[in-house]
Amino acid sequence: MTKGLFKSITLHFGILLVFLYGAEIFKQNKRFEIYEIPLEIVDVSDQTVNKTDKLKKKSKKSLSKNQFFSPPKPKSKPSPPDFSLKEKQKKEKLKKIDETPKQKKEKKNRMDSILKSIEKIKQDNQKSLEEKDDEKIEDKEEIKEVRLGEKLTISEKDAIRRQFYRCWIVPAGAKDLKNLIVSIRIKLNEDGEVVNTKLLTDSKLKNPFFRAASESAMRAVNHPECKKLQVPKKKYETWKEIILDFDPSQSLN
Amino acid sequence: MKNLIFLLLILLPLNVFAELRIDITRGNTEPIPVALLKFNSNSNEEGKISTKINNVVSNNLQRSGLFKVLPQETFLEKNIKFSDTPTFSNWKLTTSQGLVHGRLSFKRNQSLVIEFRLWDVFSEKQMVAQQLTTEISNWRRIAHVISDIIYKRITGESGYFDSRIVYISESGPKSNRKKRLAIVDQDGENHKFLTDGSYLALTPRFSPAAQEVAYLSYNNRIPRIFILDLATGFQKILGDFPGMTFSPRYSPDGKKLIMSLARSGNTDIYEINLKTQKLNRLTRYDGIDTAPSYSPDGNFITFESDRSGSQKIYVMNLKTKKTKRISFGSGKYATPVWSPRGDLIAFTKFLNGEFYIGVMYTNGKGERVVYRSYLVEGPTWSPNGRVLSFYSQAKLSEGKITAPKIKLIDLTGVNLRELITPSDASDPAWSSLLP
Repeated sequence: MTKGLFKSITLHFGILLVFLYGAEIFKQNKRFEIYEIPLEIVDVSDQTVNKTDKLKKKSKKSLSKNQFFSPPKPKSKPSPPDFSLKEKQKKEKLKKIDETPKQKKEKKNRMDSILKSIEKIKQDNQKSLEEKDDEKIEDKEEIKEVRLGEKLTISEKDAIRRQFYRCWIVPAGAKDLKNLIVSIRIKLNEDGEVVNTKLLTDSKLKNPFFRAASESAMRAVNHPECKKLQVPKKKYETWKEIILDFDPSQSLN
Repeated sequence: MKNLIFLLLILLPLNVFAELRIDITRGNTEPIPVALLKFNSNSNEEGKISTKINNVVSNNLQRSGLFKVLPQETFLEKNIKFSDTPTFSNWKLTTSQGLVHGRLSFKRNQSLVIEFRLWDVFSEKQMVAQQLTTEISNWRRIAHVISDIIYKRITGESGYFDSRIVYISESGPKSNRKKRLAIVDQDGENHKFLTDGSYLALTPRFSPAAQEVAYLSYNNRIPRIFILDLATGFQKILGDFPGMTFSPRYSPDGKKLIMSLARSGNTDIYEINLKTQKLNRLTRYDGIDTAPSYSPDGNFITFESDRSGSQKIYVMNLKTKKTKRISFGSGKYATPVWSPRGDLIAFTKFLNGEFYIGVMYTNGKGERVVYRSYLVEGPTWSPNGRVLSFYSQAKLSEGKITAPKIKLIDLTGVNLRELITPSDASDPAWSSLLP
């Protein structure tokens, strides 16, 4: 009797485990799907900057609570000696070049200066521990921005598309719309203004339909309302050159 | 070293594809704004013709639905010399994308000389520069030709403005309805009656050169196909066969005519050689095969048949005689007409108490409705295959039915216009571009 009970309990427990485990996988898939959608809509770069700001604030709070570190000092204070150091180093370098024959005599002096500088560095390290922490966070922020700047978000691309929807009059009733895809390379200046256009699909211009389609796309690119594109300034490297594919084949749907 | 080269080879294309690429799959279907400056002239008489030509060109482009002609009041430059380049910044402010200007003069008070230019305002490039000469009395046709040149250069497609429509003009009460053959320019001008109304005329069709019209007449109470020469007004009966002949249509080379011939209750499709009058039977089926139309290359025909139990559209390869059904949607399909461009077949459809004018690809795919009403029938293509004409009657809210009128609609189904005729009108047939 007890054996049977034990068996049934373990079996039920097993089934429950399998169900829970299976349900978890099912949930994970769902989570993944949900996770993808906001990525398409939200301006990620802005969000990440906010996140780092929060991190920065949090870290500052934790630092102030921590008694091991002295209170933070303004960034500008340590920088002047750095510049002077650099200048000194530069001068020293120049001197090195000029004074090569005296090098042997000054070896001892140099060793002393190195030791002194090591001491200085140690002291500086202690003083600027908190600052370094702050800088680290700033560095992270910069890295994140650069990484995200490599690609435009879907919403940023859509903003460009929307702008051209207004400027492009589609050659809607033309024959063989599928073969009338026109590609134009545009070069932009840092303000997002189109400064140069080049038709990439110029080999088909003998076909009058294609010529008309190309000209209609060119007119869109030269349209006063599309002369300046709505693009995120930070990502200039990404959008300084764009290839636009004008595809009229879906215009009748 | 080898590994390094291999790595470089792999990474290089990645770098190339890293270029930002954006596809623009939507735009607006608004008409293209164009500015038409009146052609410069030296005398009052020349000025009057210049104004008339400007009106006709403007009306043509506007009616096509593809262009929006901007009002002259918005122009910052009222006059541009034919030899000068326009100040594009002024024209960009008017939003006009195309600009037409030119000059007009009479030569020895007989001929009319027109020189004109078309500019792409946004791209700041000349698109057309042309000189045309004709008789002064021919100013209307030259205006249509100019419209066609502008249309073709901007859309890539040949125009349709220098063409005519032949149709059946209807008048009188239902019990004694007069049906006359009439012809009109595609813009509703130059209207002429071709028959006097003493006998019934139906289903007119243009010959490819637009010099002849074949139509069905009930002269002497027997329906027969007549051929009318437009230049001389002379007409003759096509062949002398036992039975009834109807729904004629010319072959693309104009040498043959395809039609339905009803004999002892069976209607089949026949081809007749216009020179030898020799008949060639194309379909052999007990039911009704009718409304045939050639493909522009003359290798295929499309027609309607009830062989599957209800009216559907079929395509026949004239060389192999293989026939394929292409319409599979619900409802009755009738009057298929092959587009002069060759890519589409227009048809009439009857479904759930309503009529539709639609188009489908020649394999039956991509069926699309362009117009629907209480009664719409008999589509005919513009010479460039971009516009459809048909006649329609609408049902008003009080249950009354409107008189039949001829309509024109762009292939996109957006731009609907009515052909203004002096009386009720049905059965339109569009000519090719005039020679």
